[in-house]
Amino acid sequence: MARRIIASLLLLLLVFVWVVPFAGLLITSARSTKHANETGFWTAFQTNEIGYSFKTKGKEAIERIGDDWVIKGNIFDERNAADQHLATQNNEPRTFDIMGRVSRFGSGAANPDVAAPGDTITIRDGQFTLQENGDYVWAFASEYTKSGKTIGVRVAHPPQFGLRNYKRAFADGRIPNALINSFIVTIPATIIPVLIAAFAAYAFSWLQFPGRDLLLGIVIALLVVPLQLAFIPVLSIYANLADWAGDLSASLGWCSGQECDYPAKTFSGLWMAHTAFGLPLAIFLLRNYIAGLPRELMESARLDGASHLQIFTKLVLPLSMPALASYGIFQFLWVWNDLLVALILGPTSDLVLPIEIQKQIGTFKSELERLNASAFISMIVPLIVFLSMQKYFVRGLLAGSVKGG
Amino acid sequence: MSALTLQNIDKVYGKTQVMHDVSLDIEQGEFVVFVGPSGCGKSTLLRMIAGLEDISAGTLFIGDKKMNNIPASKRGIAMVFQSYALYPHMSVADNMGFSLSIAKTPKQEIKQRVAAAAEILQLTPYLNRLPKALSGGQRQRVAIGRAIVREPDVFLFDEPLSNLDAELRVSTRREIANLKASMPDTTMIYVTHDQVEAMTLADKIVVLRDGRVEQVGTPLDLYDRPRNIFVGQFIGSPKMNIFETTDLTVQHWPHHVTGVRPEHLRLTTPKNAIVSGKLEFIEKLGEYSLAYLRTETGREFTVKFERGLTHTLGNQLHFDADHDNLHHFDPKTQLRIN
Repeated sequence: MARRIIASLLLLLLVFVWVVPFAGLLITSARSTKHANETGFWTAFQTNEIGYSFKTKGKEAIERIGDDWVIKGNIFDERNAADQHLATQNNEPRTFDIMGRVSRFGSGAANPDVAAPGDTITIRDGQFTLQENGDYVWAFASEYTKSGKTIGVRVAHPPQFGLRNYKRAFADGRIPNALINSFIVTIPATIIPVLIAAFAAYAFSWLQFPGRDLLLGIVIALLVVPLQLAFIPVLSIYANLADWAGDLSASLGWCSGQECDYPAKTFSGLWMAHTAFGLPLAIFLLRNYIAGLPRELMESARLDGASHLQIFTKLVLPLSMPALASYGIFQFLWVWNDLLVALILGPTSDLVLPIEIQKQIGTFKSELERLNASAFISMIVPLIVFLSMQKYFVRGLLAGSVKGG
Repeated sequence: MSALTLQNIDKVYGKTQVMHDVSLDIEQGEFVVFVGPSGCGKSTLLRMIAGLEDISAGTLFIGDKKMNNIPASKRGIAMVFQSYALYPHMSVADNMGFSLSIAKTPKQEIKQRVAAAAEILQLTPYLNRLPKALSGGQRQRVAIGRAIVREPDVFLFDEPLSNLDAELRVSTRREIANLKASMPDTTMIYVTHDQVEAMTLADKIVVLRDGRVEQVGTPLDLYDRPRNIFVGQFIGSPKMNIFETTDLTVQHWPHHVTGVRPEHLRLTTPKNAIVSGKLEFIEKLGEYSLAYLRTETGREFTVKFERGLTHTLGNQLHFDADHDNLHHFDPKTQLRIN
């Protein structure tokens, strides 16, 4: 009983540790800059008191009412209209509207706590009254000839969420490009090693050939070769290859001058690198699984007349789906989140998502919510992959522990 | 014409020889059972016939063709495995039709042959199920159906019943016997360690021990005239009692080892007894009782009684047997003398 409680608590802790940052990222990415910068994401579902500075209208809006000169308006409506106008001009998505109730206000941005809504204070010889809903009346005894005045207002702002940050992330074109680039890199870099490793694993488990165990030993030894060790040699191989290909096509007369400069850092280079780095582990994992398939199944298929290729495609592949899927998830996550390999061996112009986000950290340092939107876009993809393959994943991890048809 | 001939077959793994000079003739339509204790090489022999193991030396003929180097699928055999070896991701129908679809048989014909086999085995309602949705007995029938569909000349069974529970084993055994009866021209080779299966199914039993053939014969041959002590004890349950000359109360057969089956010993007077012993333990099985006794020389032996044994433990009991039912063996060679 006690063990069960501890296990449940541990599970709860794990869920908490995972869910909180996820929720933080998601919530922040749906808030406005001001909210994201001034209040924590855990307060996003309550009304927060946030300080704004608003500019009132000036002489251009003054009217004569009886003996008085009066400026009338609504601070919220004016500000929202101005922001919206600016966004439209800049071709940006609609901004978050400021809404809520005024709770305190004052005559300058620095002293917003002077008066309560409905009070009248003196600003520039005028009597300034601000209502809770943002309506203000600024009355003068003589004509006012200056422009508007910035006033400080505390607003009790209700929770507000929107897709503006995502629209911006998608609108600027770099994130969608990077997303596509990431898919171009990740999908082949997952499928190729899984397929090659499945063939190899079958050969290592069910084919007899000289040097088999030695070869398997070498493959497993490659598991411990650090990735970083290979960067420079691989890069120089790619560079030489590109040079050589350029020279070859030049000598064949296919191109001339600058056209013959082939890039050394390409998507296919990334596929090859990820395939090579992923294969040892893939072969190791899949061999363990495939070698564990019942021998009698293979023998039965042999008696039924199936060739090795038929046994592989009709029997081993479908039966190894759990193992293939769970390794596929690992490889997908690793390649999707990879920054280092893509930075060193990947194309310099077509950036993958991790590099793009890393660059945006510099550009949008103060716009946490915008970075979070990009981060969430990059996060949601492996999450979808994981959830859709989850049943295979769980079965793959448990594979072999339960016998049965 | 023999359907299957083994000539001086050897099997060597590395430096260990596991089959020694096995020669055997199997007639067409015969039901042959390989029986022996575990590790005797019976499954290895079957797998060599199937083509799943290489033959180290000797010749295998199926029909009149030498088969040593012919791949398993071309030998005209079909095998039923102990673990059924059903393809778990395929429906029953696909399992049974797999070999035909590999051989690119037209779909219509596959369907017909699968349907026919399913009819024989009463599997028709289950054709679209996956193996995991079947009971053990049904899975075994699918495995048999998969073999039937190929219409082989030789059927191989590798301990097909050992994964079933006792009741199912009896009924499946009868189904296999019926199957054999319905296919009189098909040769069947059946491997088991259970001598009851061997006795009930076989036309011919091959008793193996340590990679050697100990005796080949009909079930009753083996029961009545075992060629040596091993076969005598292996066939029949409970197993045959073996007495040294000194264990017996009469000294008619010096330098023999005498074997007598528990069911052949009868109670008698001390004067007529050939063996006496103290009653140590009784197992009452309803239909009959088994008495475990010990001679004064310390030899344990078993006697099968009709029910109604009234003797109490510790009593001294005396037995004789028809001389026809006594088996005499040479103590050195262990071979039968009479």
